[in-house]
Amino acid sequence: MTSTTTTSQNLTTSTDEVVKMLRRALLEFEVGGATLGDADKLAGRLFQGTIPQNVQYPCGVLRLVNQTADGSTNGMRKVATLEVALFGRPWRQLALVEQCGDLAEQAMTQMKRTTDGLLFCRGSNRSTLPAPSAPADAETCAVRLTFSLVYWPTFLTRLITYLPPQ
Amino acid sequence: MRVEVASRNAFPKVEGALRKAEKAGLRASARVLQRAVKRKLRGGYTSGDFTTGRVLNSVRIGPVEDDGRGGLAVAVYSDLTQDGEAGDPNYPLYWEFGHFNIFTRRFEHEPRWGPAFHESQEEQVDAFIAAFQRAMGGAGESGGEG
Repeated sequence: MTSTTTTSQNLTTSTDEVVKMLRRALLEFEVGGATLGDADKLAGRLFQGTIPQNVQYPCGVLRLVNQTADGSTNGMRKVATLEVALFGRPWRQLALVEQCGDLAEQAMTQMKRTTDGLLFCRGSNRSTLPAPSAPADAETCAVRLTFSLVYWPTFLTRLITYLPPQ
Repeated sequence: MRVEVASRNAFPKVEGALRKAEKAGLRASARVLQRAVKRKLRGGYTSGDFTTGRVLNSVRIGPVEDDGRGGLAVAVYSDLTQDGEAGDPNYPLYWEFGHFNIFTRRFEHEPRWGPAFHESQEEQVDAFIAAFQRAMGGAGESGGEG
């Protein structure tokens, strides 16, 4: 199993970079030679924000939501939720989608970035959604994961020098 | 002369009052959230052309209950019932978490409940504090009856 700790640069210089880095981490995290980015899993079909039309399955979408920061750190320590929804079709792809969900959980459980801003994951929530009916496509299965993230993005911390209280 | 010092255990009474005030606070918070969710649902989903108000009118507040961890909880929920395709009780869930829509033929994701919860958090806390203080007899930052 490989760790997702990395020293690559420009990870938290913008919110878009944060999301892109999280996407890469999800797709590239390797367990026993398997990654979420493998051709028999999501390949590259983990989209930011929305899923394009006529997509192949399984596929997924990720969003960074509920970003908050409070006054105790002058607003520089952000808390946010990474929402990852994975879809399969037909319904019998559910086992595969669950496997993808396991890989996503493993990747995010290991998630820590300690250079160019600090980012780590401190908890998760996972649900397999019930079989849908109209207006949703009844043949689609879905697993939804949310991850609690804490990060000190450089696009904020580089503005001023701040030392947290000892 | 006789001086008597007596003590009575007022703890059950205080505990009961606190529990009652907590419940009042939670109900007030839930009303704030219910209003926030309804505001978000007012325009329906997508274009809003097919809005019937069914989901909006189904937003309810549950009873205040033990949360199983020593605290109390109240739920704001949709009570849509199963009455054919349009009455799928999970209908709001599809929009909240995203789904492939058979009518628009694309992925649709229009969260309402999560953002309503997130955006109204401060107002929920304020409503909780105000209701809690009222239930406790008005004691609060002003000092109450001292």
